[in-house]
Amino acid sequence: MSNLETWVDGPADGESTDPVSKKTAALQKLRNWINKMMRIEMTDTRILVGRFICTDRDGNTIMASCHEYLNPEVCGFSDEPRLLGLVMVPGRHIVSVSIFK
Amino acid sequence: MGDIVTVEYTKDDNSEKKANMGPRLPRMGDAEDITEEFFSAVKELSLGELFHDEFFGLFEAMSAIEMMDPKMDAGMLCNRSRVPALSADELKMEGLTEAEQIGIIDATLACLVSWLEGHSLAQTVFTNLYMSKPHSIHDRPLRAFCIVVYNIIELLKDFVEGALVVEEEDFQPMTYGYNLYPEVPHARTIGLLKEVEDELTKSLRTSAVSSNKERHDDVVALHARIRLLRIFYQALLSLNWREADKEANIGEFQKLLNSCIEIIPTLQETVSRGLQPVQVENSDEFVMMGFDPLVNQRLLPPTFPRYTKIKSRPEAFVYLQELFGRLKQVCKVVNIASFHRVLDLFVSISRSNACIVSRSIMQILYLRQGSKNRDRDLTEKLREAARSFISPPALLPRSTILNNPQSKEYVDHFIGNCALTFKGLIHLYGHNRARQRDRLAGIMDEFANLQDEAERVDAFLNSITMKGDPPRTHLACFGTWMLYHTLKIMIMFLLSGFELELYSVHEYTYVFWYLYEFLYGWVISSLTRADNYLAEQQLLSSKSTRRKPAKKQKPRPFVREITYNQAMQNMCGGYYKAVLGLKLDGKIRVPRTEFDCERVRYEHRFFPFGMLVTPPPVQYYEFQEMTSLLEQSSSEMLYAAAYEHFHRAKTLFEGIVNPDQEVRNLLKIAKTNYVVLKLFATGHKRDSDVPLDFNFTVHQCFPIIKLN
Repeated sequence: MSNLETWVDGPADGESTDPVSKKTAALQKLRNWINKMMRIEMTDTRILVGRFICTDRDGNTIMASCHEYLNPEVCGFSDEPRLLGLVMVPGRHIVSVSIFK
Repeated sequence: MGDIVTVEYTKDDNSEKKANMGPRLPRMGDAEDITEEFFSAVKELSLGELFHDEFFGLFEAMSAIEMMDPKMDAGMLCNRSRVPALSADELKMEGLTEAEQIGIIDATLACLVSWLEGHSLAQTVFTNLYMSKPHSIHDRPLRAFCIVVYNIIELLKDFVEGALVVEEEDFQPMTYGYNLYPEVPHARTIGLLKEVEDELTKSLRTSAVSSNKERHDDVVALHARIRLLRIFYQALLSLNWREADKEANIGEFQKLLNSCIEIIPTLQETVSRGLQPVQVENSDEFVMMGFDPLVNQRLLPPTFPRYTKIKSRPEAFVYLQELFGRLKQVCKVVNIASFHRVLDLFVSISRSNACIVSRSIMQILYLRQGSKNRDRDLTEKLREAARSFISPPALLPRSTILNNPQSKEYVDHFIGNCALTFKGLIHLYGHNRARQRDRLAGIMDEFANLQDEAERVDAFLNSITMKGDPPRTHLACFGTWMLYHTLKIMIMFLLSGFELELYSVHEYTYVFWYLYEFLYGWVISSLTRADNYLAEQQLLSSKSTRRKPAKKQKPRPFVREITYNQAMQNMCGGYYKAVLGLKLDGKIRVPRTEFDCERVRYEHRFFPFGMLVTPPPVQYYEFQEMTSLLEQSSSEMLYAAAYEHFHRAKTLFEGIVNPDQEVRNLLKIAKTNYVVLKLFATGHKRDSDVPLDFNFTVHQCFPIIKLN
């Protein structure tokens, strides 16, 4: 489970084709996003907003203190967001990901 | 942990055209789309590698709810109604036919019953859309019904919350903001129901003479339903719970319950008159008019939705009928004078797996908070109970012992402590069976303290009574009484393990061994001691009053209980030896020795007994020593010994006059086991590998041994 190697610092030149440095660059990116507020749109049009805390190779993502928003265009009505807490979104159900600045 | 970006909402931001995404959706302008970047970045991770920060642990990984999993994700589209949800405005609010009203009422009652079985209101009663706007319904029967259901829910919830015997698995009190109470007061509600009943009675008269038989039957059905609800509601009110200055009107309560029971058959006969759910085209779903099972989906807690199966309407009526019957049973607790009988009633109600409502009402009736004298009452009952058990000289009516201020203080203090502990015991019997086991283990500690105090009080009182004329012993009076109760709790604790299916078959040996060799034996000896002591007292008192001994000897009070316990002891002995024999024959699967440590399991099973001084906990090596002796004999001899035990148990049970259902069941088990073991002893089916079955259908703690 624990992956200390993800924390190994490396040169952050993302343009390199060297597999090692490519991975380092990817990790650097992910590290920039971690603990930031993230917004995920799912295949069933719901939108989840929560703090990004974990992901894996398939894009399965865990978010903390997550809120669920309905898309009123699809379900026909708008409603209060619902607090879900800790959620895991399977990568295959993610339509788009954005990060709040 | 990182910086958290405060999310701004676009509630008042009209310039943002994304606002049509919902009134409070976070503004997109602040977010940067990283979809492609994100997916290409995660591709670089190795298979199974997780990218996370250092505070992330297994807990986070395991407790996250999985989105888009229908079982976990309550908000998923497939968990929302596929049938377009009826908004409350689209509901038919007037001109409902009788059949429609009957159907809605029946379906709501089925929901109510499912709620009482531990489901949430949001997924049961409040799926009835009429419940959200009862005042807008123009048809009076249905309006009155919805209002009374609200009030009944409040009342039941209040009983359950007041009795404090509820666990989360029994009952969900959340009302999710649906609330009517006290909008329509009780008197007004009853008035409303009575008006509706009168109207229906009138239309009954007209429809009876008209040729429309169908309509007449519908009105009869509707009338019966309203009447049932009204009477049940009045019955609940007659308990006057929460009204400190009023006593519960038990007579009224029982009378009303009887009327409820009488109405139920009418409801059962007319189930078919109500509108039934219709199947949606091309789907397995059924839709009931006015109901939307998923209407409250977004009100549910964020944890995964519990699976809710609503009972069928006929099942619901059976449940209600049983509920009324149980409530009637429960009332008996008020009129029983003897404290020991009260305990027995609590045990038997609890053993019948009574529902949370009846358990709660029973607690409230007995340990009612409203009456101020309840505590004094309980100490008085306990004195009486001790007197009837062993008649300690200190508690005798004309006893002078209590004139001594110190002994009075000691006795009062002891009885006061007893009252506290027994109150706890009664409360414990209100809990569901699984939780009771934990609590039984916990309360043994308190009984150990009581035993200790009882012995000291006895010793002190003995020093006084021995100087009296005639000298009497006071040793082990209160002590025996406490020991008796402690033993009963220990037995109940061990037996509950069978009921809860905690023991595996190879463990039966030491559980039955403990019951057979010690617990039942000790109960018998404490009862015999009490019996002898009572007889002595009687002799002494008849001497001192110089009256002729009464012609008819009073029957000894413990004969029945001693016989019963002897029979139980033999039952346990029978099981112990039978299982031992079966183990020798290899008929019972035992864990492989390298994975097994019987001592650890033994000590775990009897762990709570370690708190007690008397009886001393029996150690594992003693079990081993005694069992290894038996194991040297052949399995046939063990079977023979076992069937003799069952035979003796059978004879003892047959000697009990007026056997109750439990004794009859045990007798049946003893007989069957006797026959089966006799076959075993003669070598019948010895070598066959037919699986052995311990069948608990007749009694939840004592199995029938069967070859399948």
